[in-house]
Amino acid sequence: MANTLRLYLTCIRNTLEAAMCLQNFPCQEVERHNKPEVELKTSPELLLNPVLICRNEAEKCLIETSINSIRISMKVKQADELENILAKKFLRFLSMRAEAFQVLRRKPVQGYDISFLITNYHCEDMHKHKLIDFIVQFMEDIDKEISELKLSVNTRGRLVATEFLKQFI
Amino acid sequence: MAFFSSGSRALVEILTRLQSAEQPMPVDHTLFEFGSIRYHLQASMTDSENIYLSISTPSLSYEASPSSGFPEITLQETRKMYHKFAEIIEPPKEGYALTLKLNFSGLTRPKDRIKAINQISLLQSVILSSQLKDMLGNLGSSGTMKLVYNQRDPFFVSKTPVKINAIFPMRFRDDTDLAIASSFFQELQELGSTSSFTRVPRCSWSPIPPPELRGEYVHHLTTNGGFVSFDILARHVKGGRAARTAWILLNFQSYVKYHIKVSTQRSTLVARVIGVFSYGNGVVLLTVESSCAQCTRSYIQSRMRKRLEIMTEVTTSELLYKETFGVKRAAIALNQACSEGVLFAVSQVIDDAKLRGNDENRKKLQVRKRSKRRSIKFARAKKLQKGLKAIVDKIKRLRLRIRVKRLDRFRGHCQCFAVPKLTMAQREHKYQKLE
Amino acid sequence: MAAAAIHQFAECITCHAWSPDHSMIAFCPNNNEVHIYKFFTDKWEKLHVLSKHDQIVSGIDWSRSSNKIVTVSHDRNSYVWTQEGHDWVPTLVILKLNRAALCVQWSPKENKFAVGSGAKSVCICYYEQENNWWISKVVRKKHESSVTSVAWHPNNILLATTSTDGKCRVFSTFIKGVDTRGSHTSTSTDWKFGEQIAQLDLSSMWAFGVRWSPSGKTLAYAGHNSMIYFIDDVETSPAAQNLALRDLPLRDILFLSERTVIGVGFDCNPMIFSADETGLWSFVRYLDERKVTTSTSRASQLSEALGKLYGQSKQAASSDTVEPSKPRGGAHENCITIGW
Repeated sequence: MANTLRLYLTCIRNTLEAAMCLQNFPCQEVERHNKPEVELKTSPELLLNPVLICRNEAEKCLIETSINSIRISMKVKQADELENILAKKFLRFLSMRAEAFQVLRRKPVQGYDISFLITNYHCEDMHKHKLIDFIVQFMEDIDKEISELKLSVNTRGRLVATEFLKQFI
Repeated sequence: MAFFSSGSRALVEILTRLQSAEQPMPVDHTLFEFGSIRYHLQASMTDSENIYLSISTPSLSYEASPSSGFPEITLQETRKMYHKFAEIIEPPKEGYALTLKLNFSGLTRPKDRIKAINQISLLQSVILSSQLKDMLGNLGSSGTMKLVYNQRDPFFVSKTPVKINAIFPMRFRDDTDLAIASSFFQELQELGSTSSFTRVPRCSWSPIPPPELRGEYVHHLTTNGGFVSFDILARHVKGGRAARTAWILLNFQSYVKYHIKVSTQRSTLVARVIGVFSYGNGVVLLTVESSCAQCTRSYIQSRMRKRLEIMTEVTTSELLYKETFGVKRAAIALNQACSEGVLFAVSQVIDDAKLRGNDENRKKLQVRKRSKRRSIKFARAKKLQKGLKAIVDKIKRLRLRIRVKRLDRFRGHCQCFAVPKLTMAQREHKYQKLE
Repeated sequence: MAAAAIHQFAECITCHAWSPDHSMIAFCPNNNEVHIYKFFTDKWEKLHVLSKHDQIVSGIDWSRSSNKIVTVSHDRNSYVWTQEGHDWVPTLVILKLNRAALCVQWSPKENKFAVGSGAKSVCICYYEQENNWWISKVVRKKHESSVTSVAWHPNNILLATTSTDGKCRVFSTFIKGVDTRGSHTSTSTDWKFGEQIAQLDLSSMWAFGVRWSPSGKTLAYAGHNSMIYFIDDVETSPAAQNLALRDLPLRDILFLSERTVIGVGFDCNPMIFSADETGLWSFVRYLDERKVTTSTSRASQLSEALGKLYGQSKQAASSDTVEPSKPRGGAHENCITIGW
C-alpha cells in the first residue's frame, strides 16, 4: 500500500515538474488585468490539457495548467464513513486557513476535496522544487493525518466504551 | 466521567457547606440538573436543624402524569433509604414531586454525615430506579414501553420473562457526530463480547430496529445512528445493583453525546448553576467539573490545529522562499525587533536564519524568542545601534556564506554582492483568489 | 562552461538588454522600473533607474549604434529613452494597443522597432522626422493569441513573430518613406505593410522566442511542448526541422552564429544546439557544467539559483573558452526568462 502511494506521489511530482512552467502573462481579454488564466478560462488557447492522475477510484489528482497558473485538485481517500467525515472536516479546516498556505485555494474545485492554485508570482518568490515538495508533502500528510485521526478516534471510542462498561462492574 | 456519577455534586456541595457552617445560615436555592431535574433547598435561621429538600423530575413516560406525584413504591424506597435522617413531607412543596425534611442532628459522627449527604445526593437515581421498577412491574410478564428521560431522546424498554431489553434509538444531528458515534458503537459491541466484560449486560448495535419494537410508530423507529440495545438479565438488577444499572442506562444517550461533544445540555446546566449561585445570598460556590475528559470533537479539532501548525511551518518559514528572500526576511524581522528595542530577539532571528531547515531547533528557538521578547525589554539607543551594526555585518557574512557555497569554482573571478537592503521586498502583485 | 560571473541584481529579472559595448546592462527587477548598471573594474554599480511605466516592464531593447533604449510594459505604453548628457530622457510612444505589450525589438537599421502585445497584434513603430514623434502602425487580425516574441530579419523588412496560438508568422513591415524599395532582393519589393509572408504551424503549443540567424537564412523558435524548430529559407521554399528536447520547454533562443544556437528556458540550464555541414541541427550539451547524472530534483535547485543570475554577468568573452566564434555578448542573452 505504501508502495503504491509512493508511485502515485512520484507521478504527481513528475507531472508537476513538467507542468509548472509558468510565466507572467497579462490578460488578453480584459485591459490591464493579470489574472490566473486557469481560473478565468477566457482564452482556451492559453490552457493546456488537464492531467488526471488516479491512484484508485477514490483517490485522484487533477492538474490543470495554463500559461501563468496551475491548479491542482485532489480527492483524498475515504474508505469509510468515518474517513469521509474526517477528511471533509480536516480539509475544510485547512481551506478556511488557506492564507497560511498561500497556494491553497479557499474553495476546492467541484468534485474534489482540496485545491491549490499556484501562479507565476508564487514561482517568482519560491523555489519551484520546494513548492512541488510542499504539495507532495501536503498530500502525504493529509493521507497520514486522516489515517491517524481515524485510528485515534477508534482508540478513543474504545476507551470510552471501556469506561462505560466498567460502570456496570 | 465523574459527571455521570449518579450523585448530584451541587447538592453535596451545598449540604456540606451548610453542615460545616459555624453559624446557621438561611438558604433558599433552586438548582437545575440535566436541564430537567429541579431541586429546591430551603433552610432558615430559626429552624436550623431542618433542611427542606424538594425535587421534581420529569416523568419517565408520557402515560404517567407527573403531577400525580411518585408511585407508592418510590415513596417506600425513599423512606427505607433515608429513614435515619429524613422524612417525607406530605404534601410536597408546590411545584415539586417530593419534599424531604432532612435532619442530620441524629448523626453525631462527621463520617456518618458525609455518608448521609452522599446518600441524599443519590436521591434522583433512587427515585428513577424505583419508578422504573414500578413501571416494569405494571408491564406484566412481557411487553414494550417507551420511556422519556431526556425529552429529546426517548428509548424503549422491552420485557420478556428472561430478560429486559433497553433499546436506544440513536439520532444525531450532524454527520461528524454520527461517524464518531458509529465508531464508538462498534467498539462498544466488540468490547462487550470480550472476556473481561462478561458480567456486563450484553450490548448490540444494529442499523435496523430490533424485533421487540415491532408495532411502534414509524417515526419512533427512524434513526440515523441505528439502535443500541442492552440485554439486562436478572443478575444485573439484583439488590442494590438495580439503581445503578438503571442510572447507567438512563444516561446512556447523554454519555454518548458527551463522548462526542460536550452536549448543549451540559453547557446550559453549567451556565444555570453558576447563574443561580451568583445571586444566591452569600454562599459563594461551586467548582464546576471542568477537568472532564476532552470530548472527541474537540480532540479532533485540536489535533487538526496542531497538524495545521506543522504544515504551515513550511510555507511561513523562509524554507520555501528563495535564499535571498530568507535573508531579507531576517532583515525585516531585525528591523522590527530593533524598533521594539529587543536585541535578544535579533540575534535569534539570525540564528533562526542559520538554522533554516532544522525544524526542531527552530521551534525551540521561536518559543524562546517569544518568551524573551516579552521579558527583556531594554532599549538603550547606543547599545542598540552598535548591536544593529554587528548584526548587519553578521547578515552580510551570512549572506556571503549562502551565496558562495556552491560557487567556489568561480573564485578568482570578480565577485560582488549586493548589500542587503533593509526594506520589505515588494510583493504586491498578488492574485486575488476567485471564489 | 561555468557562468562567466554571477551577480545578483534583484530577486527576479523579467527582461534585460545590454548596452552596445556590453559595459552596461538595463533590466527590469520584476516591477515597473528599469535599472541600469555599469561595470566598473570589479563590480557593478547602479547608474540609473528609469521609472516611467506604471506596470511591470516586459521588454527592453538597447540599440547597437544609436544608443537608444526602448522599453515596453504591461501598462500598454512604450518609451524610447535617449541619453542626453548623464540622463536618460524618455519619449512616449503611443502604441495604439488596448492590451499589455509583451516584447520589443529594434530593427537592424534602428529606424523601426516592433512590439508584440497581448492584443493579438504587433506594432511597428517608426520615427517621423517632421513631427519629432514615434508613429505606431499595427498589424492586426493575423494573430489568434498574444504575441510572445518578435524578431527582425537582417533586411529590416521582414519580421517574425511567435504567438501563444502556437504559430510563427513572418510579416512584411515595409513602410513607405522609411524603407526604400530596391535595396533588397527582388521578391521583397512588392510586399506591402502587414502582409503575411509565411505562417508556420509546426507547434501544437505556445510558441516562444523566435530568432533569425545572423544572415537571415534560418529562423528558429521554441515551442512549449519542449521542441525547437529550425526553418530554412522561409521566404522562398521553407524547410523545417523539429528537434524534441528531453527537458522542460525553452523560453528564448539566441543565434551565436549561423550554426550555433543557445536555448534557454524553464530547465534553467542553457542548451547548445548546432548544425552540421548538411544543415542538420542537434543538441550538443548544456552550457552549465552540471553533471547529467545528478539531474535529480536536487540538482535543479542549483541550476535555478544559477539560472536566475545567469549571464547577468559581465562583459563579453572574458572567460569565453568554449565558443570562440561567439560574435558578441558571451552568454548574455540567455538569462532572459530563466529564474522564474
